[in-house]
Amino acid sequence: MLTTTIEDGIATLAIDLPGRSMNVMDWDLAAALDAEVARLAADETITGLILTSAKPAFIAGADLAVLQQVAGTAREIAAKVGEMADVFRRIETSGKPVVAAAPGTALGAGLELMLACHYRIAADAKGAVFGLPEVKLGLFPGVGGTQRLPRLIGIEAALPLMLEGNALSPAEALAAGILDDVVAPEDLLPAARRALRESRVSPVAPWDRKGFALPGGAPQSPRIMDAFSLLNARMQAQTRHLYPAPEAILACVFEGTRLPMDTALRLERKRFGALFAGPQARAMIRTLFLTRQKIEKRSRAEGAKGLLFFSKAKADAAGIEDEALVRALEQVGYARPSPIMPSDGFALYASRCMEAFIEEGLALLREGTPSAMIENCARAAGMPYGPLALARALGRAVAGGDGAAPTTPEAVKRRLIRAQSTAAASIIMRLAADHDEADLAAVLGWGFPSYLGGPLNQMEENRT
Amino acid sequence: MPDAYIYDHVRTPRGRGKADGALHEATPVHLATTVLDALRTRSHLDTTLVSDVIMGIVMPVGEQGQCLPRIAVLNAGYAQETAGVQINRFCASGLEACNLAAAKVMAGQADMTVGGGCESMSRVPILSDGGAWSSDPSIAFSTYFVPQGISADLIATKWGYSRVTLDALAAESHRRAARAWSEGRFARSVVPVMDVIGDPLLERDETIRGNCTPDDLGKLKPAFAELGAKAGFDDIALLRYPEVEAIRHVHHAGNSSGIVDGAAAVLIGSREAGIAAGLKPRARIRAFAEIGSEPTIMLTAPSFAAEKALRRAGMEVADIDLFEVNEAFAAIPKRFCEALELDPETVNVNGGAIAMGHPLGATGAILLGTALDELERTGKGTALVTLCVGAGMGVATIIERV
Repeated sequence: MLTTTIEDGIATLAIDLPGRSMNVMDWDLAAALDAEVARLAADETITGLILTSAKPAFIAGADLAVLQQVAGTAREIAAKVGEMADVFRRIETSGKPVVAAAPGTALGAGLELMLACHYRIAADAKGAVFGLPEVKLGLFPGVGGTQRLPRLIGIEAALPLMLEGNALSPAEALAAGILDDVVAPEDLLPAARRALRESRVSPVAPWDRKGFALPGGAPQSPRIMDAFSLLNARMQAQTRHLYPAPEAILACVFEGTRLPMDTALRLERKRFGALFAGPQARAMIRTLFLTRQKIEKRSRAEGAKGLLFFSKAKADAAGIEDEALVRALEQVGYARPSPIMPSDGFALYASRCMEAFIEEGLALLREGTPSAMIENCARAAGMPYGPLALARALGRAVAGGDGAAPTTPEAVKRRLIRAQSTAAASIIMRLAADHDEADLAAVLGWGFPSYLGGPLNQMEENRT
Repeated sequence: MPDAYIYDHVRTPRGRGKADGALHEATPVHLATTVLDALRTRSHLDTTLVSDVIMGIVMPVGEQGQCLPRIAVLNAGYAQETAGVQINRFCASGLEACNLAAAKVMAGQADMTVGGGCESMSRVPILSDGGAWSSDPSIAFSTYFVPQGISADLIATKWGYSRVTLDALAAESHRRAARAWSEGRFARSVVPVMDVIGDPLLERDETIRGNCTPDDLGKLKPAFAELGAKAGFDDIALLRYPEVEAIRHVHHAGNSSGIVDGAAAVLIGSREAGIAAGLKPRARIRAFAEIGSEPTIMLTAPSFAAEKALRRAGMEVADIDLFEVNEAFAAIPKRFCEALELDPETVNVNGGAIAMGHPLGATGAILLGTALDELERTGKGTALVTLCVGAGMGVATIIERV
């Protein structure tokens, strides 16, 4: 997993997880790094360390299958994540200068490990990307990322990278100040050694030096306070209070950048524990990552170029008729077929579920619920559109009823989601299809909100 | 419980709160000193009787920071024994200061106090104090924070107030304020702010435009449309109020309160303290109340505060002759009138903050004095003063002439 070679007092630690095409960070790797760095730090003949990878990529991120197994209370999760964050912190404070030399991609915890090193070099490798994409799966960089990135490049530059999760090319990461140097692939380790030999690498992180000031403005400055106010609003509008990760990222940065590093890191892991003790990130990891991997693998095996859902399912006569609805919705820009490969099974499934959503909206309207309430509640529940807008787009009559059923926004949201779940459950039974597959198909197919995992996951959550 | 009486009230004229405003060269301490000095001088007040000076200051930072009321007490030459304290209840700070000043008297823990407020918005701009509400993510999210302008537009949307209606209300505020000045209705209370050589910097409220028409106002661009759409505040409001189809942005610089500089002070004391000072009480403070309400719509609490104060006083809406409700935005007095089913002819009869401006910390005390002057002018008996307040609060005070 970890091979150390020592040359002229410089120890190079190459990460190489056996049996995997890419390195991923988990607790075993962290423990191995911890022991090895401690051993080398105690060796007086060692003048510097280089962390690198024996694979084309540096580290692709945390091992999400392993992370998904981390359960328990917020306190227990915080403690578990803290174990890894403490390893990173010990690398940062080992007393030896540590260079991260990435031959390729470093994402998530991989980039967080690089941030805990004192100098960061990347090879100018084709396709290599650097970023903190955790937010896309309902998570945030929880092993120091929310604290080190703003301290390195400033709060205003760091927040969008974590809130949007977009990856940067080596050149972009260099320009952003995340990397110190980008070199030709064959020059990666020589460049790392030169940096150490030329004493360009301080063994003390900038934020551990006396008088450290955050680049780009202190968190208390009016400019940064205003930036937070605007981002708080934008993220509330975007997440509709359904996806907790952006708020947690903002809070980690707002509160953490006012604190000394060790206190800030403790704060970050508590936030991570609180977040991951909730259902949203687990549902998103399950559906958007683990299920997606499964479907991708199967689709490839079946020779499909995109994601192929329900390929084995046979649609009946009703399915053909229903397909028209999905086609119609595609044409008006609602259903999102990409990257889904159309199949009869998918068309039937999507049609039935969207029909149920539309019908529930029309039923609410007939009962006397104001149309604004129905449409706003659909969006507030995480749907990308309201059922009445869909009905109108399909050219259906949308007429209010004279009922006066007193409905709370909560009840409207619940009904609009439940209608889809009920329809999904019944059609999946008929298609004899896999639940996970159906959940991902709903999220990618018509924008069912991913924080719920999918219509079937949502139903199971409600039952327990 | 001793009753608390109002013995006197003074305010500065309100100057445009910008670098070209007439009061821009006056420090906030000088504004506060001006009203304290006037109270003392015109009543020949023995200031050793004054236990405390409580002033609302909403941006208590920089030269307006520390504990400005105590500094102004010293600067105004009050007795050394007179203490001072600054309070902040956002826009109702000036009224809250008077309520607390009265409460000290009613509780028997002070015989004579001053309530009031001071704000130099041209020198210490709004939002100078930072604060957690919008910036701290945990707070902004949990409270569904939106700026007040969005809340005002939400109110107008929810209750269907058109731009035309609100512009007419704003023009009427200017008309009434201009009439009040031309008839000398503010003469008893307004004291000029002087410069160091004894010349007046400002003698009249600076922002009134008596010839302002609804058509003029109709040309102004909505102030909060872009903020609402781009920053996402409209979406946040709709999350809380899904029954509203979309926020209609109807407020603008002309039908919202003006940014101005100003200060006010109200002399409050027990019956005995008045006798000791040789002063005649002008009104009794019957009751007051503060209340919190839903913070995203934020600005509908004046009616709730008024109802609470009325209950405390054992009074009905019909028992009140005159209302002053702060014109933070045109929708606020409109909603207040509707909620309490009031005749608009009894509300803000001499104009309000749309015409004359809203010096944040001082406005509540100004409104209290304006109501009292008008009761005396018209020979009426009771008045209720109220303001909407950030984060969904409201404050109301009921006075009665004696």
